[in-house]
Amino acid sequence: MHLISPMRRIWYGKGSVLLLSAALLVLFCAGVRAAPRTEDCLECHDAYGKYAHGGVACVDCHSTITSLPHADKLPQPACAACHKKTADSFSRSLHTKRGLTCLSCHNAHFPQKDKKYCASCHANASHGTLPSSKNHLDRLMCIACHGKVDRTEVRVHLEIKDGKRLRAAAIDRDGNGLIDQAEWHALEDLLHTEYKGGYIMEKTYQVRGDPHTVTAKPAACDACHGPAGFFTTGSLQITGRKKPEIPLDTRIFIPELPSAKEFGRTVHGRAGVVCADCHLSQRRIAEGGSENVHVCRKCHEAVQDVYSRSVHVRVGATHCVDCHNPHRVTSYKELGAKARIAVCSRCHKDYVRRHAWLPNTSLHFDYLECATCHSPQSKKSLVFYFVRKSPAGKVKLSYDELVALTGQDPARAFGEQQGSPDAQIGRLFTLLAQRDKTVTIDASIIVTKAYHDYSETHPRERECVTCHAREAHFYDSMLLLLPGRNSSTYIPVKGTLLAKYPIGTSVDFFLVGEEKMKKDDVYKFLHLRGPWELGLKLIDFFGLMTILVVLVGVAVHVVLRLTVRK
Amino acid sequence: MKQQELHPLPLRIWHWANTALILLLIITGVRLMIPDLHLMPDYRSAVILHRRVGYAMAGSFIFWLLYGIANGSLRKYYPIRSRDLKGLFLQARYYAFGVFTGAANPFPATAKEKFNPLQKIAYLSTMLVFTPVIVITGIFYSNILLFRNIIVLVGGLRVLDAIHLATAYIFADYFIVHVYMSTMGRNPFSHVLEMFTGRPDHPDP
Repeated sequence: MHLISPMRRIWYGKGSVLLLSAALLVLFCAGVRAAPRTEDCLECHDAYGKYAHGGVACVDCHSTITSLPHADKLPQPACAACHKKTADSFSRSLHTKRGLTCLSCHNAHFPQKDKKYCASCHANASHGTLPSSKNHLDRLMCIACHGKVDRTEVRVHLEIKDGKRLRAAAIDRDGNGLIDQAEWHALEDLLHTEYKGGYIMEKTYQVRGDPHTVTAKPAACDACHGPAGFFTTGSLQITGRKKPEIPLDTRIFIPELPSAKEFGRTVHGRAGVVCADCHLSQRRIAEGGSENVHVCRKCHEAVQDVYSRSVHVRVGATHCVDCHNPHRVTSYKELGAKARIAVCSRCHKDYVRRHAWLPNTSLHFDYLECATCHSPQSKKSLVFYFVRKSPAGKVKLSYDELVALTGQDPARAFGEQQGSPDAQIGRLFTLLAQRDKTVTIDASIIVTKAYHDYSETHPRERECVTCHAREAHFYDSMLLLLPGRNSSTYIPVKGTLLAKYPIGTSVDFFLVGEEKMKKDDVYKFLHLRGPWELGLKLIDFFGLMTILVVLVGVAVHVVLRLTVRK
Repeated sequence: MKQQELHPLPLRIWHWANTALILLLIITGVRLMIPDLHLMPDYRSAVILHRRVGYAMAGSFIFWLLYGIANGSLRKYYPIRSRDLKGLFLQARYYAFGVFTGAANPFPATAKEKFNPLQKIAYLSTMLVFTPVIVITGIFYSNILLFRNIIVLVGGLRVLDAIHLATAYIFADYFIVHVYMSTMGRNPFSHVLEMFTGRPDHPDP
């Protein structure tokens, strides 16, 4: 038996394949006549001498030509042979349906020459029904609404002249890595006051998509102005900064607008208000008009009576919609302190600068809204809520997150469960702590019943001890906010264990139990009326006592010096 | 013969500047804590002033420390020696009795030994313990977010507040006693005058 080694067997196998391939190639070349070369074509078609289409040969597109001279009439070149993906997109486009081909827009031999853009054909597209059409047409590419969009982004580029630098704390005050609306307003004020004329800001609404798929119907307004559509990401780039990009909330520039789809979920929608109840004419409500002046009054008479006397009306913010978005899905009572500040800071952009005197300004703006201090007649509450701690900061837990953690609707479960509020709170805390260690409690002091005349000022609201005291007004109303699918529930928790939650001893929230001796305590002490718990008031007590003792000692010493001295 | 200078000019300037700072801090501090007293008309100004003067106090402390180290006065005048323990008693007895009977001050200030044992204890504790404590707690308070971790280590804001406040009471006590003690010279104003002229109001021994 003739034995062949395994290696040699492989070599013989490969060799035979190579030999067979070479033989086939020779046979193929002999059987096919060579296609005309580009130089041959250009002998007649010298006008295309400098054609530029990515280095392809004439016959790559005019593939039916196998010999010269060619037939007089040639079929359309097959663009799809190379541009398959684009051709696929284009085949679904409205343009295809209207009989357009690749060559309708592109010059095949000189792609950069005679290039056609949307406006080449649609120069006078009126967009008459598009609201704020100039804004939209100036800022957006056509494909944003009429094409297939892959990626959108708002990019703001800021350049401070003369090498000046912006402090990081002035941009993202709370350090959560995102510029929110209130922070943006404060930044605008800072640029306007401190860098006036010394900066350039450019805003672009970048759209990446496929212009070959022109849709029959343009995108609806809520594609951008809805809760989760285009332009959900944005960034601020500052020339010369080490960390070049800071994400920003794009709702700063693209306001949330109503859509019929969302309206049912709004406060008004849930209350059964229909469009025609408010929109009595085609005119925008904010634009005024006799029919619009009293629209809100139909339901909110008492509020509008108060508001009509306020300073806001006197300075021109005459209509409720100047501050309130009646189509907002989230009701005002569910907005946190920061979101509420964002409403005021649309006009009061200088709110940070005006509060520079306030110690720990940023910290105050994290936990308070404007009306906490600027509306003495409004009712304020200490509102607790669940948050998740992360390196970027604390994020309020949404309804869905709470359901995922507890396995039930938190507000409903709270009401249905047996036991005292303490027991219910305890169970909820234990459950959350078991499921997610990063969940904790946070609190804000916000208005829970607004009095709409903000022209009243009360100097006492400026005094630290008005809030940093056990007697502070908001301790009368302590609520736990439990988000719901459509609306949140506020559960009174005054006198429960939540009111004594140990966050009072940490820096996260330190108002609870702040103790300073007051006039009443002195009276109580002098009259020896009880019960009188000292706690940290001991410091005040002993401090004042030592001053008294020292003063008396000095007085006695003076008297002795004057009388005894020889 | 011209007397030797007890208090060099930079120290005299520092002394009066520090006096002004402490006074301002006490006034603004009381305005913040007890607004009903209306020690200052504008609350906002009181807040701003308390913060800025606090920073100035930090600067003033650093100047005092560096100056004391540089010209050696810190090592020369402040160390408490064993003989000071006896002197402590003598000085206390002088303030309690001797001052009424016209006895001589057992430790008159000289260029060699500027402070009596009681003064040493008072100045050392004020300058090396209470001033740094009140300045540092104040600085922590001025930016809670920045010093968050240290504040948690200290025991939270309420503890920080308690330390700041307790030290402030000590300063108030110190201020009263210090002003009163300044009247204990040859005449009620001689010590005050010393702090302007820099020379002792008594002949060198």
